[in-house]
Amino acid sequence: MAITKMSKVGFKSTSYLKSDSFLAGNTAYIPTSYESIQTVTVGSGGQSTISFTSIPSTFTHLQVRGIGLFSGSVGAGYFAFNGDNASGNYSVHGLNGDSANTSANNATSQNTAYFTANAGTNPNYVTSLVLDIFDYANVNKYKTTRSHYGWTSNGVTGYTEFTSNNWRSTSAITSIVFTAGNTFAQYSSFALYGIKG
Amino acid sequence: MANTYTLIESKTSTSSSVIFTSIPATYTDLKLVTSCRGSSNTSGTSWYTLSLNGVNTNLNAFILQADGGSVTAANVTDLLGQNNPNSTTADVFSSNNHYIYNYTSSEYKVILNEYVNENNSTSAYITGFSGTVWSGTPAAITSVTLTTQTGNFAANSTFYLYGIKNS
Repeated sequence: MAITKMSKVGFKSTSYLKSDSFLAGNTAYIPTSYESIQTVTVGSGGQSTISFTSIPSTFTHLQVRGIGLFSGSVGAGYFAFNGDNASGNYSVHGLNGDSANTSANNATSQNTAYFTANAGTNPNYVTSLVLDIFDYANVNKYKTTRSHYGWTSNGVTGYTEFTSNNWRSTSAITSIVFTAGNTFAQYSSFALYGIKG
Repeated sequence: MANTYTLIESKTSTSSSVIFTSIPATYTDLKLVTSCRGSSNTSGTSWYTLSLNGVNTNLNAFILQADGGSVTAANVTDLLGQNNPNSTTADVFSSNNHYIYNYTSSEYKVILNEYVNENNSTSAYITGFSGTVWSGTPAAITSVTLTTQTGNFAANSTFYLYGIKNS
């Protein structure tokens, strides 16, 4: 029921302001532009993929922040949008460095994008990733991603890269599946955030 | 929980510039993200420049980037982002992040820039980042202007300015 009348009775101060709204005098609420959508943490036994499905279209950008723990012989880590992993719709370009050298890499018409380089047979390495996907639901654009990742194996060998990928589709992104070269070990964790624009 | 990440303004443009004005001083840092493409540029003219408070002097940047298979390091006197060339694969847009630290400080301003152009090609792309210092008038930043190197921004180019608070 709306307040229709107020009285000074019960108030210690006589200088109160009368208002039709309970919000009067309070700091305006401004919703955050950065929200958690989902976090996946791998349990014991590991798993080969980490998936985000049913991504809502209510945000403007997406960001993934992940830590991947790997064991055994591993290859590159991949990701694909909306189940498109066989049509050659991805390109990738990178700027990378190891402990001594820098280099550039590129690949066209790939079946997936990738989030970490092939670590060869180095066991027990950890990789970190920050992946930005702007305008993920904009149906007038192919989707360009930009990411940083780096991995190290017991501090002996390591690698870091600044990478762009492009998915040649105008579809809104509704799912992302990350695939490990071998297996994501326990405690690997990927978090998906939505950013409003 | 404090709201630390807030959209200030978003824009689209099909002209040669985009201007964010009257930026409030109520945040700690600014984060400008862009997804853009040129209407008539090429891989040789794919930069856009940023001006702070209408000024694009007293800027000093060190960049590290890859383009077409080689790595380049350079020192430039511009604040730069990438505008995907019109000559690249259709419907591909660049992805840029410009993070301006302590934009209301009376000290020199430091900006981290990450920029990528994409293309389904082994060449005609740029992937890189830079650190920039603006040693101009030590005033709070109240406006940011993006200007293409050549031509206009293409339709569906988007620009978003966020305010970041540390408390």
